[in-house]
Amino acid sequence: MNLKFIKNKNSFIKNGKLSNHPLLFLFLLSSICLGDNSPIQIQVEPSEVGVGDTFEIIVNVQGSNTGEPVFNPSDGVQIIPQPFYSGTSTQMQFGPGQSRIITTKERHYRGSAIKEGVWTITASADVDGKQYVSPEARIKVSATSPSPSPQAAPQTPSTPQRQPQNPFGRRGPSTSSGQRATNAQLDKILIVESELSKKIVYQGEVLALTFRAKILDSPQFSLQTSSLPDLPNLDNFYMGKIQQNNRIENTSDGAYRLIELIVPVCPKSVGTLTVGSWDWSNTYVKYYNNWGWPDLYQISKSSKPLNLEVRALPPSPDNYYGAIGKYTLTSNLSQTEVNVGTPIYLSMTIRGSGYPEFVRAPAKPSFDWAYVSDPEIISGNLETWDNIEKTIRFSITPIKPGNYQVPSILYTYFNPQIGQYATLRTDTFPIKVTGDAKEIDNLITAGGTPRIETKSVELTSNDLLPLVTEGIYLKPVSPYRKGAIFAMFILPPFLSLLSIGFGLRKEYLQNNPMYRRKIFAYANAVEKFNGLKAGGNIANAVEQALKQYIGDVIGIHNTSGLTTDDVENLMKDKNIDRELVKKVGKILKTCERIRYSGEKISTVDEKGLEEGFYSLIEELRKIFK
Amino acid sequence: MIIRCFYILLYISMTGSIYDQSFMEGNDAYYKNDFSTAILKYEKLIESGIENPALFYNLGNAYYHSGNKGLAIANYERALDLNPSFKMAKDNLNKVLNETKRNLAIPDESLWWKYLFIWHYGLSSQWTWSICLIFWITGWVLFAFLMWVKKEVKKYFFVLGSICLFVSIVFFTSGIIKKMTPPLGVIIVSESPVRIAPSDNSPSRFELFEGDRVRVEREDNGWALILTVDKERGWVKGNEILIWKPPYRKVELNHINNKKES
Repeated sequence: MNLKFIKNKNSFIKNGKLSNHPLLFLFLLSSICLGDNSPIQIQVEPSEVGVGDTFEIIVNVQGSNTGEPVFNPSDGVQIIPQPFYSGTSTQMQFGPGQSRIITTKERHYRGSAIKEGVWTITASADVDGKQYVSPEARIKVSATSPSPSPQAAPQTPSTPQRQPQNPFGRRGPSTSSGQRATNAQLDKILIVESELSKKIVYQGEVLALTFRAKILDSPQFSLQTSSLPDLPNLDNFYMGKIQQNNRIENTSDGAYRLIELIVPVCPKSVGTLTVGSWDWSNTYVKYYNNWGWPDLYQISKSSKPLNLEVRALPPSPDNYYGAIGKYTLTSNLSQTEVNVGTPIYLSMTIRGSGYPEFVRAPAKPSFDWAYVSDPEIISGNLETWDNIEKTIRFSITPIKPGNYQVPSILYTYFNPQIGQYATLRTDTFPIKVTGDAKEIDNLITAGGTPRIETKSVELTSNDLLPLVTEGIYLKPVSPYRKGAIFAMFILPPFLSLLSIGFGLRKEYLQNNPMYRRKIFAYANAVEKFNGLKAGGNIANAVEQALKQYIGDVIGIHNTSGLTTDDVENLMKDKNIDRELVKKVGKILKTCERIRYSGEKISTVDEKGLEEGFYSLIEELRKIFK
Repeated sequence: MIIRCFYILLYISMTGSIYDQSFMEGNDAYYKNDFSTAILKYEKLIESGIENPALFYNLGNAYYHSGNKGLAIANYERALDLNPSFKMAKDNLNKVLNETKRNLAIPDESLWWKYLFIWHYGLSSQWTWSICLIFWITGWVLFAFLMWVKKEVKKYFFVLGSICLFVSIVFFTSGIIKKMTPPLGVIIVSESPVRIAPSDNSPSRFELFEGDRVRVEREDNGWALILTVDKERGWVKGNEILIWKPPYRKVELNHINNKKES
């Protein structure tokens, strides 16, 4: 509406009646410049603080397409540029013959006072493609905090302040019935649930614990919380990586935003274990009352506590190392033929679902022909409990030569699905150990090997020879050395082969005169033309050169006796374009006529003939290529 | 272009003088019996990519005087690897080897192999590759002129070119063998247990002493699989052995001194 008003005034100015209404002009100017109609409004709460105190800045930006507000720097205060509360509301504005959607962004920022004085705060933002600046908001910073201290204010999550006046003349969205929201309606905004995937489990079995918070997805309400509340105490469980899923769920009460947390857990002890409730107490809901003002309502919700019965495992067999779940096993030996003293690796990879810490390494096997190191876990995906992977590696160092077998290693785990133990086994691997036939497992005492070889040396001097100080060229090894060496290996054969190729071509040309004539036809023709042209008879030069060129490329030895018709017929026999044949005939006949007339032609005609010769020979060259 | 060339030459001469100065400082420190400073200066030069037999020789001397015989041997061997006819390095190496607990010989190739490649042992890698390149280029140059010379001399060019390429291939093989041969290493601590497996828990088979030279067949996770002259294999800790082939590793002196004291 204001825009329309300004538009009218503009047309009013254009009509040239401004000089008659200076007061009206000043009024209009002030209404534009003073920012009364600025789409950005700013408010500081409280307006008086002490040095070091914090305060809140509320910024509203209204428009069809609005950007985020940015604060203009102020010396005495410091503002955190990230808002601690963000809200957006949308309105449809109807005008005569048009309607538009207006979005209002409400942002709450935290600031702190640094210096004593009265400071002004302004914010700017992009609104509908233009940059606007808000009116100034003033804050008085005194040496001491005025009573009551703003820091003493309760730190409830993002408390939007009631506006002293509605800056945009907007009404907040009302409930669908147009009545004030009742407590029963507000209670339905948040639903908190929890669930266990199983009620009875074995000790160490992995199960999923799910927490759900459903928040009514409505523009009328917004939940005032910046983070999810803490999960209940799960000390009786080993916890895996929490997975969060967010989605929309439609119910008879409306659409809910669902936040689902799935926690893989593994009970630590047997008996009845309790999972506490997920507590959403002291949660605030922002809504708009009948007057269009934002209001807060406190709700407390929590999920029901859950009980879990945990059974003890049945008595365990041999080769059980604590794994519970469902697993598969693959094994591998790094080498099957090896020298005495060279270690090889036996790897067993266990994959499956279960608590990864319970997947422990089996006892190391013992062989009389090899030394086996303690097991080491060299890799493993342990994050997602439904798809874990552990590789256990033994290093086997043969100490006796011969042919042996690496036997299976048994690995037993408890499968809670069937309530029984299951056994996996590694493959057996044949191994050939080569080397000296002697046994080398006897430890050699410190001081030397049994077959120690020593070298006696003759010394030229008993003293250490002095340093070398002269005639030294110190230069770091060039980083391009390898590249240069590579180039030196590659380039000579390349260049040499190129030279051999040219040599072969030259030899071929020497041995085949017809081929040579064809190759050098153009050069010879031009050479002949220039030679005869120097004699002063250009028509003769063109005729002879052209005939020679055609003779060379077609393969006729003596071209001097050829008539124009002969040339045309030869070209026709070679299926050359008739137009070109005609052109050749025409130029040859012209040359003949000039030659027989015996008259000297003008310089211009000479030039034309020369150009004609060159253009024709170029055309012929393209064809005979 | 001229200015650019001037700057390049200036840079080359300046960098040269920087290295020379550092080298001279190392020498001065050595003559003042400040061996740790000398070592520091020389090691810094090696770190900046200089491969010079005289530098390794001087560093060997400095290590010898600072009581690190293993490191002295490793650096003399490095000097001899770059210049096998470096007499001073050979003499000093022999002197230090005589002072080690036992003068353990270098694990060598079999006799027939040594005879087959007798010519190849007296040459450094650098020389081997240089000869290979010279013959390679000469051979191809001769081939390049093959089609451009008179018929009568053509066959000589062909024969000479083929000989050059053959010699080049022989030296190329030698260079590759030198590159592929497992490097040699020197024990740089007083005593180093050689274990059956690359683990501290693995039992020790025998011991090597400072200055013992072995072939390093493999390195794995901070351990080195070594082969002694009498074909004994085992694992030693990677920081107790110094390999004398490039890339030249920096030595942690504190670690060595602590180990020696213990």
